[in-house]
Amino acid sequence: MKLDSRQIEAYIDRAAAGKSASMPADNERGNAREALLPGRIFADLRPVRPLPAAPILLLFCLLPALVVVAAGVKVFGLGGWQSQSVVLRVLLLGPVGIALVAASHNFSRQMIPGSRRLFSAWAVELLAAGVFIGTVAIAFHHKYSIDMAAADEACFRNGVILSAAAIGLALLAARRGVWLDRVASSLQLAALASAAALLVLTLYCPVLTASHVLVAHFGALVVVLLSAWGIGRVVDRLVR
Amino acid sequence: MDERFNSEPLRPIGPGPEPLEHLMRNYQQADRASAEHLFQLLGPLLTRFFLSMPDCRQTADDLTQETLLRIHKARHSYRPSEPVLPWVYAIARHVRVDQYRKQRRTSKHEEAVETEKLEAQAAPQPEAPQDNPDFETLMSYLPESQREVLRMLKVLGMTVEEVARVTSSTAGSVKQKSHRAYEKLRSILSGASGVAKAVHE
Repeated sequence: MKLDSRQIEAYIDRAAAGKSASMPADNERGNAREALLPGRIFADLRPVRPLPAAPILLLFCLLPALVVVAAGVKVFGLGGWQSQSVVLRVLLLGPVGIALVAASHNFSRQMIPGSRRLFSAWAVELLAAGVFIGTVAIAFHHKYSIDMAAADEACFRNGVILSAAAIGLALLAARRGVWLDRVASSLQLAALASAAALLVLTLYCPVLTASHVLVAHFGALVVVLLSAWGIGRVVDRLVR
Repeated sequence: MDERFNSEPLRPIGPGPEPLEHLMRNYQQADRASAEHLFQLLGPLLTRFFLSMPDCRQTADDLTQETLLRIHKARHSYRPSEPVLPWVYAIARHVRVDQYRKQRRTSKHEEAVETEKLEAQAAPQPEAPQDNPDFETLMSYLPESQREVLRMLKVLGMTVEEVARVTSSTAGSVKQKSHRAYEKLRSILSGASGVAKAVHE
């Protein structure tokens, strides 16, 4: 016999109502618990300052990344920007900028339990990464280099250093946050920091070859993300 | 915000009904009476939340205590313009996740005696649909992420938006999960003639 969605939903509703009725009423349990807790918890009751509004938190999270980008451009210059066409600038810097804002948004939301997510930050970040890699693979695929080891090493090192600086500043800015999911939070923090680093590398590095950009620039991002995942797991275990 | 969800905990316990948001704001300002009243209201709600998850039934009271302690530590992260319950349930959900992982890690260190046999006994094995399956039997056909969403929507009576807040996802993602769960249950139950008859009734 074929069932339609409305019938199934009504059936599940009935089953859930049965389950709900079988659970004790809200005020039937735990009197002893309520009697014990206040003494334990409220002994050190002090006023606390609530976290600021969501747009301000977003700025708090975005600002460290922007400081790193500004400092990176000041130190390294804009060699990459000058060697790119307008279309390339849009296709390379646009996705990185969008990923940066998405990561900041998600990171700021992670600070507050139960906060509202407007969009899936991971989906936006993956899409941005796809556009970036696609652009590099298509636009720079015909350019080969003979010995890129030195340039690769320098850019990779700078990428990791810039990411580490952004992570440090972002942690300072977001120190009052409550990180429930430590692994997801550390990954999002790494995504934010490595997007800032990738932005600096794309702005300053004039070496427009697919292998260099993917290995040295994007490789730094991958290494930072993997490290953050590992650190997040270790912290999670230690805290639990 | 759905009125039903916010109005549920406003039963007259103690001196009189006060919105949770108001109590929470006073709690942040170190008002002990509001804090105690708030915990009186939240305690039973949290116990009910944990009782709705089969793996937490034995430890529901302990988990409630742990959640209340975490609420106290994280009280500065509540923003006065936001609803209280999604904030509370998000903390409770992570207490449950932490407890589950801790348990799993502890059980790894325990002596492994016929592990496979024990696992086979412990794991809920979806059987063929009975004539009139209860809610837990229906849930046993679904993956954990879909089960969690359906429990919050159907047993705890949350709205899609609230479930999205609690599970740190978007409303679209919650709708998608519940839709997939319905589709899966529909395809399973359509195959069982007794169930189909019960549904039609």
